[in-house]
Amino acid sequence: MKEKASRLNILILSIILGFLISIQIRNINDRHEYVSLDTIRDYKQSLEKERTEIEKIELQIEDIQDKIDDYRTTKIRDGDITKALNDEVNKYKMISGLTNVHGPGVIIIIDDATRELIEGEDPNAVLVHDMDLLNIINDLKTAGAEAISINNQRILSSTEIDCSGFTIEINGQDYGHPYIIKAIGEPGHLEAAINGPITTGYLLKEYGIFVEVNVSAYITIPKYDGDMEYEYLITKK
Amino acid sequence: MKGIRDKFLLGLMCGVLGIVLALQFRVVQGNYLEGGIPSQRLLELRIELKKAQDEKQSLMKELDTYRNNLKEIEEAASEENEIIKKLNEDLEKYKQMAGFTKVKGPGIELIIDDPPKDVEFDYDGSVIMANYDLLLTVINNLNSAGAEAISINEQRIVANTEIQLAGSSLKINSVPTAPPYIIRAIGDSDTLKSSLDWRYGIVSKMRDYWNLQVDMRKKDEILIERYNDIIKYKYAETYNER
Repeated sequence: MKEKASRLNILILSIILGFLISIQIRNINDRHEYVSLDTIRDYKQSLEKERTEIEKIELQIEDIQDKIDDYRTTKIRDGDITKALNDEVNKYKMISGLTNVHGPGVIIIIDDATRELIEGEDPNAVLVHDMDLLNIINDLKTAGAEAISINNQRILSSTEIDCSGFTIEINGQDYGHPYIIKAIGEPGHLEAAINGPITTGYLLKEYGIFVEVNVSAYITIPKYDGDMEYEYLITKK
Repeated sequence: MKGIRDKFLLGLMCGVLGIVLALQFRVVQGNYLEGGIPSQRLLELRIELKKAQDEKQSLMKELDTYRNNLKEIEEAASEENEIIKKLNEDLEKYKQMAGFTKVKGPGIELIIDDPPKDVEFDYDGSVIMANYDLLLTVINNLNSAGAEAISINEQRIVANTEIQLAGSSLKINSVPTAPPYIIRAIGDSDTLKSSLDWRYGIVSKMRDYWNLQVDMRKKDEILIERYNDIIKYKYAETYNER
């Protein structure tokens, strides 16, 4: 009796073993080869990238078609395209940061912390650094800022924000604290980019740095005062 | 004697069953955590990606023809009129400054990639993406060394360029990007290089502290793409000082 039971046991276990092995083998089968989630994620990311770019190119095509139409109609109406071309020049001048601009936005004041140091604390913790400004500028751009200045120095694509000891160097000029950042854009978004949780502005406040955001309906930002000379760069036709 | 043999056999079977079960569990668990999905899905994605790339290529061509058309109109007009000629020159100049032209020149190329996969301390996610302020610092340093044009992964850095961590992708000019990050800059290649690789500078910080793989190269000719989007200001308006 006992022998029978154990034989039955072995039989059942063998059947289970057989099932498991066959499942295992099916997994190894070519068509169902397992790829890691990382690979899938990489593909998804590239796909997402291509799609965003396609969207942008479509927008550009639309824009350029409008422009061609515009040129044609002005040519018929005015005889030449001077006016349309002039608008175009002004547009790119504005994007380069070479015109004064005004609009709604925020004024941000950032200054060193006034609190006492905790014993043994590094005094650097209560100062405003170049990196802090760089991160705040990036946060503002993320929130859609159209024009930004620090202490009335316009931020361009080639603007550097450097630590130069007790001052910060922006576009080759030195500025000391307090730093007054002006940004034009949707005021609500810009304010949230500084006051919202886990933004750079929020972290700075945690350290006791003075950060104040004022929303304003009318802000003026001066143009970049210098000239841009290109020594190495050539436009490829 | 026979009873013992049977018991021994049963024990052996149980052992084998245990091992197989454990194997099976590992496969199943692997699927949910970091393992895999059938390659079928990968195949679909691959086809989709190929389709998107082809579409992008053809759209790019279309865009180029339109750009040429526009240029022809502008240039045809400038032959008749001096003012228009001057305007055209200005347009080219400001387009170049704004980052709307494809440019070339000497400079450096920097490739930043995540640390090699470590089995022991597996960190899920990308180090460089989570610490994108390193990229901001690199761009900032290049700018202070007088870089004339910069791009990251083909995205031209213009005045409005932002770097934003959105979920699992890092958006530059609102285009999602992923490592490795290839930063290209045009300018004096020696100055550019030394602005990054000073002792305890940004490159050594990335290498030693963050364990990133950084490769830096001086190049005689670097090509940088134009900014590929339209910028329309909704809030800012130009005014003239009186």
